[in-house]
Amino acid sequence: MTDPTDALLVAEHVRKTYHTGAEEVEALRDVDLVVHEGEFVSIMGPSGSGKTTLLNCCSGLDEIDGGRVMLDGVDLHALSDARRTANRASSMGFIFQAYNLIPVFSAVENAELPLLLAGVDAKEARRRASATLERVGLGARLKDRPAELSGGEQQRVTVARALAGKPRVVWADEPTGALDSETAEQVMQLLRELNTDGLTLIVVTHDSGVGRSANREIRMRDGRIVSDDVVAGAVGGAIAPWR
Amino acid sequence: MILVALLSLPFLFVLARKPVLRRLALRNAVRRPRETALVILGSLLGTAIMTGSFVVGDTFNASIRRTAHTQLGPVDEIVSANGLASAPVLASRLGRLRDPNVDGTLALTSTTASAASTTAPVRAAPKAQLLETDFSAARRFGGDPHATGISGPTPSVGDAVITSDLARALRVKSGDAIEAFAYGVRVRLRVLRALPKLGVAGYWPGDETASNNIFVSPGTIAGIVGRSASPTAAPPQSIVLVSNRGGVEAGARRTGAVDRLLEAQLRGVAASVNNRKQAVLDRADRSGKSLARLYASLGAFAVLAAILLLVNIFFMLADERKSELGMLRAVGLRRLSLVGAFAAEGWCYAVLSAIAGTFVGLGLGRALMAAAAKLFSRRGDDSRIALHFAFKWASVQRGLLIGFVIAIATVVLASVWLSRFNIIQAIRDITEPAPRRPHRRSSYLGITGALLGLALTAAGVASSSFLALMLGPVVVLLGIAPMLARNFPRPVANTAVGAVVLAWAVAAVPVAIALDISVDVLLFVVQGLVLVGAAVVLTAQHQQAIGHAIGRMAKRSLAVRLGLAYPLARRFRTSMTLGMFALVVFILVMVSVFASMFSGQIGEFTRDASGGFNVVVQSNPSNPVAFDTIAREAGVRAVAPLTTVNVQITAAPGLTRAREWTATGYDRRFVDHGPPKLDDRAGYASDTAAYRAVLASPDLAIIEASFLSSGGGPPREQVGIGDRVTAQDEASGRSRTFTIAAISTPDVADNGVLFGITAARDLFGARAVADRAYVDVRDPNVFADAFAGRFLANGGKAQTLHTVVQTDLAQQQQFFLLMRSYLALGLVVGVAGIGVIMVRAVRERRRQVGVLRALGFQAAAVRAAFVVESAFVAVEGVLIGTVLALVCAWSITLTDAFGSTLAFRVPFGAIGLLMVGTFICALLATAAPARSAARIRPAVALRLAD
Repeated sequence: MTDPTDALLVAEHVRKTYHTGAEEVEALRDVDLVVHEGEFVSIMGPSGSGKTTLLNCCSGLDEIDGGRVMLDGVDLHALSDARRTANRASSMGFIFQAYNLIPVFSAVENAELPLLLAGVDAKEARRRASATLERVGLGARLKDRPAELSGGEQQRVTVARALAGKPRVVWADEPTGALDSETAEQVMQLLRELNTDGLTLIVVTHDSGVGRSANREIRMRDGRIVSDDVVAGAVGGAIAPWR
Repeated sequence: MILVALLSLPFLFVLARKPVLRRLALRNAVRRPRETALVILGSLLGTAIMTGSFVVGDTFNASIRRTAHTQLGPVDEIVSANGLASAPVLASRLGRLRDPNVDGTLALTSTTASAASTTAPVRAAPKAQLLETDFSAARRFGGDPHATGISGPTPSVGDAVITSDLARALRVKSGDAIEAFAYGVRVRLRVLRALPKLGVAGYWPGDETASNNIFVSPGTIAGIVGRSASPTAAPPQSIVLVSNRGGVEAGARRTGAVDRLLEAQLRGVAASVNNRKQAVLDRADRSGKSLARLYASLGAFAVLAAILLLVNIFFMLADERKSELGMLRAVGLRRLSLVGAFAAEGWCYAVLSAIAGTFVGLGLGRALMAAAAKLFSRRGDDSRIALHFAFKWASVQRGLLIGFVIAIATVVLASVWLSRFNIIQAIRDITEPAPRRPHRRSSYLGITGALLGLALTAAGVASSSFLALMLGPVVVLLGIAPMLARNFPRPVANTAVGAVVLAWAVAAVPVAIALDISVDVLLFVVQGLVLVGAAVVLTAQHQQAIGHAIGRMAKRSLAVRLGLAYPLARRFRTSMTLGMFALVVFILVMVSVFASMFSGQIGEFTRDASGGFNVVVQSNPSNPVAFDTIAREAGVRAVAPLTTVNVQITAAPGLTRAREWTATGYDRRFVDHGPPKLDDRAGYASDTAAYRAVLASPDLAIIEASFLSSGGGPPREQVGIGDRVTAQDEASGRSRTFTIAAISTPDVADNGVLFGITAARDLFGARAVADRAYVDVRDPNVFADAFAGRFLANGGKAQTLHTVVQTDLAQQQQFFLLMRSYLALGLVVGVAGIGVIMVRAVRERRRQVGVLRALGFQAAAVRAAFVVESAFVAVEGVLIGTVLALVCAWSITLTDAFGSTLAFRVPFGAIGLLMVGTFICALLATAAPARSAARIRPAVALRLAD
């Protein structure tokens, strides 16, 4: 565990147990994690090791059974659901493996969602979402719906959506899991660039290539963090806040 | 049931012989029990509505048939002749009648009378009859003593045996005294006992359901007539009742043969034969069928709504399982097998829903008939039908079969359609792009269809078929649609076709009526369907614009944007839901508007029915009121005596069997003071001129538009001006043929066929007694209220014409209310449908809701988005249905289909209540799914999805 002073995210003694019928699965066992602003952290491990659960619990998507998660000094799990939701809208971005775009919204409508949720004026939201889509190379596909985009393009819309609100941290769960290697590399390149600009990224992945893109690699097994290393040769570390 | 079993064979084969498909079908069916229950609920409504309609018909049929048991029993034919002197003649001709078709005759003497109790407060039965017969012979009559209702000895002089109906009306019991009035004579009688209303005891020749019979000792009527000082009373009737071999209902089958036998026996005798039993059974069948048809036709809207719901549910099911179905295809499942698995699952739902729907339909029919029985019992006269819930197994089976066929056909067609997906796109859950232009082959097929449509239109005009005339142009337009879509942008082509179809559907009824094509209640079904279909297509084409307009209004609300995004994007599903709502609202608003328009006619109806009069009075023909005396009373401005009797209409256009009808003879006084208005006076200069012409010519008559017709919808003119109608007197058997000179406005006072007094005297002979009158009096209400008391002995009864119209319209309104309650079932379909659709939508969008929640969408906003979605569809559906119904009703009032007095009126209150109620119900149906959507935990939704 790194020094928690001035950390963006501090998770302490986080526990999470799933109940499946009569069976209990301890998904997280007393996990501690500290992430500083501008870090690019990859969380790796075999299936069932607790990677996604850690992401869900630390981002406030899921409840925890013990411990606490502080984001920017705010105890996420002490907040009401509404406050925690508002906190997500203003501070976090998400990228999922299955893109999870809203199929009835166009690319730009998907991208502007977090801005609108954060209360940004509709025109301003549209302008910023368009600009973000331009940045991820989809300036010509603003009006297209997800079904009209390729997998890589959909994932880039997801990235744009995660970035449009200029969050403090972006959580990515297997962001390249559904992409071919070339497209996956393009997406990772994009994420690296964003991190270089100061964006804090926490990526859950199986892919060691993706893991190597990060400047810090956390390995999990059986609900515990078994290693937490700085990746040698990785391009990372923010020089200036990206936003 | 055999048909159900045959239709089930392919599905049973799949379930029995294809284990993989069986597993797929059954496991999918039981996978989500709550949703399976919702699917079954949505599907069962069609069966329930059809079964309910048939049960309504059965109940009316059985209730009228009951009259055959209670008021006729073994009596099949009634031979009657005027005067007591005819009795020996009838006895000599029929007393020893031996024929394999006849199992007995019974001699009877009768006369109309009025009766009253003798203790205060005096209670009266203005319409009763005195009867004389031998009780031992009566018990033997027909071979089943129980069916005659007769018991005990023949009453002695001064004694009376009365029916339970009369005992109830007068509140008397054995030992009490009553008074009977006939021929100006009052007779005091002691009540020996009360007999049930059954068979001979309940014998009643009129339309009333109460049998107010007083059986007296033989010779009593002769004694009364002998003491009579009344010179103008109708004579007593000598009657022979004839019982055909066979049971109460089965005996009527021999009526034709017995009729011929009786005619031969009575040759040269002034007597008539009334096939009463057959007429009652015919009326029962006619009423039952007509009501079943009316309910089934109007209920068809709810059934169609249920079909749209079923289609929607199956498309949602298929959408949800698209990737798994695609995977199955990828691993080698043939398309036919896929259809089999999906259809077998649907068959399970169809069987369960058809069975459950049958029971719900029976319950529904019972509830409807309970409400109708209350309605009829409030009517306050004796001609109401006593409703008794009944159903035939054949009707239940028919309801089950129709419901099953509808469900299974929908399921199979949906399965075939759904199986035509692209495997890769299905696996990857990619929406298949719609082709930009229809294929050339579609154009050719369309042109062929358009040609067929042209032929259909021509056939409609040539054969005066409304259905063909209505649908022909629609088929033409649908046929040219693909060709238009190849040459113009699809939205433009669809909009053009939709708009023209819509305009035609509105104009079709006036056009049909202008072409003299008769339209019945089926009109509403076909027209409603075409109107709603066209409106939904138009709305679907412009849904984006509508959505964007609303979106602009609620710019800052992300929940509104999200709520609108789904119905705008899923055009097919939204159209199905819209159609479902619009159909139901259309028919409900239509019935409400018509109810309002009819109720608004009271002033006009009263004016038309009254002419220059304001009260109609009636009295006992054996002791009629002296109307000349009334004419001289203070405050009485005019009195027009009328002679009203029942006749048999033996010949008329479209008539296959004689029907009993009322006939009225009028004189100069009726015409001079202003007779009821005519609807069609042919070439006569004025209504009065037409009435005078009929008065002057004994060969002319006036009828109302609905003469001899039956069934719902606009009155069909079965007999028109210039047609010839033959009427036969029920006592003497004399016949006259009349030519129809004019058509009157609705005959609310039950005058029936109107002809001049000369013709009436010629036809009715001694029965041509002025027992009714139209009166013009200064204070009609006071006059009418006092009349019954003043003329108790004459069986006097008076009503203001305003009250007559009001009572008639009130009953009509009650009927409309009952109809609306029945049609409101469609709302259950709509509301349940939207609930089912939203439940499925929540399941389908679980992952998307999870993402939104992850991105910061508040739970309340998720809930609001779902509510906005259902509110948007409900509001659109309600608006489409309402506007179309109003336009349609308005277009019908431009014609004279329901009479020239029908004015367009919008019942704002009722429609407002309906719209708001529907909207609120739709929101309530969405409440639970919206709440469950709001409770979706993002991590759980995403974990399950990923």
